[in-house]
Amino acid sequence: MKDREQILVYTQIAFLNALALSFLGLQFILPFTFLLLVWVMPVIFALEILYIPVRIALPAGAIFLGLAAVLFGVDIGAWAAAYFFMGFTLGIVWRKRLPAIIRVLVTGLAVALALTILIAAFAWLAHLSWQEIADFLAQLGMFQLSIVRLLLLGGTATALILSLVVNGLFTRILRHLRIEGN
Amino acid sequence: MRLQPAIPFYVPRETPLHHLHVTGKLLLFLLYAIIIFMATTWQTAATFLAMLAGFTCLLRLPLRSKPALALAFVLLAAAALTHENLILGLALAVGKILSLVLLLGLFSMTTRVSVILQTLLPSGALGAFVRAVVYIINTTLAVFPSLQYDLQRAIDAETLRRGVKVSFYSIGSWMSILTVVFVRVMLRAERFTDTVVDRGFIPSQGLQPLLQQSFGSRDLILTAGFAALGLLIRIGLG
Repeated sequence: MKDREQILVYTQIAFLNALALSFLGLQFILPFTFLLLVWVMPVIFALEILYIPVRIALPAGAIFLGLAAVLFGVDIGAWAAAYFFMGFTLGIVWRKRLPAIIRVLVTGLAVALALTILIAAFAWLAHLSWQEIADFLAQLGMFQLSIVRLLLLGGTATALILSLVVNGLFTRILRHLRIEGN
Repeated sequence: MRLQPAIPFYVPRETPLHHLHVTGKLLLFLLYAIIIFMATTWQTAATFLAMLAGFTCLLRLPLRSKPALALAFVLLAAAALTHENLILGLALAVGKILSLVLLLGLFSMTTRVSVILQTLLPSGALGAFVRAVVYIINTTLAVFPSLQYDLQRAIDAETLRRGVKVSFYSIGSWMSILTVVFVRVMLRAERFTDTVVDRGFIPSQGLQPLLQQSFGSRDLILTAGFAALGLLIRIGLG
């Protein structure tokens, strides 16, 4: 890699990581902003994966997660890891130039997986046992709803909508970057 | 209230300690830290405390923890007068802790972090990796505030374009704002890189301008002199 390319890669990582840290700072102060960040943050990491070699982007991601955990604590660090996983998947499917529908489906799967792991991690951090979660679901069952089906349906729909929005934003940014000659 | 960093920053001055080679300063720092840590009498703690506070003032560097210093000297004076075991132990502990704080302050105020990194960093592939990591972290933290400003400007522009305040729940508005922010960030990273390249920095030599200084006879004499002084106090006072 030439000197300029190498510096450009490091600088792009630094700028994108700084942007991601700004957003995480926002989530740290106003936790409800995750509604916005859940479809914005993956785009940052997808840009890193698309523009930067994966062997450099992965350690850069680790640096970012370390900084996020040190600056904002474990819970925001866990959110950052979930965002990174979603963005990594999005970047990879774009790198492979897969058809749009496959991109949306694979990203949707990554979103669903990341959010499920995140919820499980928070349940573990809060020392919630499976029995307590089962009891809570049983209480909801009083309302004559098939909880499992509802959760599956809701989760899938949420993941797919998020995936669509993330892909939409990413496409739009790439189009603008192409116009600017990047 | 103004927040102060736990370890004081570098203070540029033209003093012999500032000009001393970083290897000498590191050796002296380690030697003095060990001697102070192993001190067994209040006299040693008092001597080091007075000596380090004196050096700090002599070099016209800011002397921090003044109330704690005053308390330590009161305790040491009480120890000298009463010889009570409790006061002796307390004076020794406080004297040692404050001496270490002053030593660390003296070191950090006379040595640049970049110079320490340059001295301690490994060479070869590992060195190049560490330098890249340092550059990324430095740049991330440096550009962090300007990006928040960018985001605010993009929100203001969208507000002007729409004629109404941007709603938090309006995905369309956020799409426009974020597209502007992301594109601007990528373009700015490119311009920043061109500036870095234009100024002649290359990754293989680190992305920070550093003075190349060799460990000369003057550094050796100064390091040996200070080391001898510390050892004499330790041997003489225990």
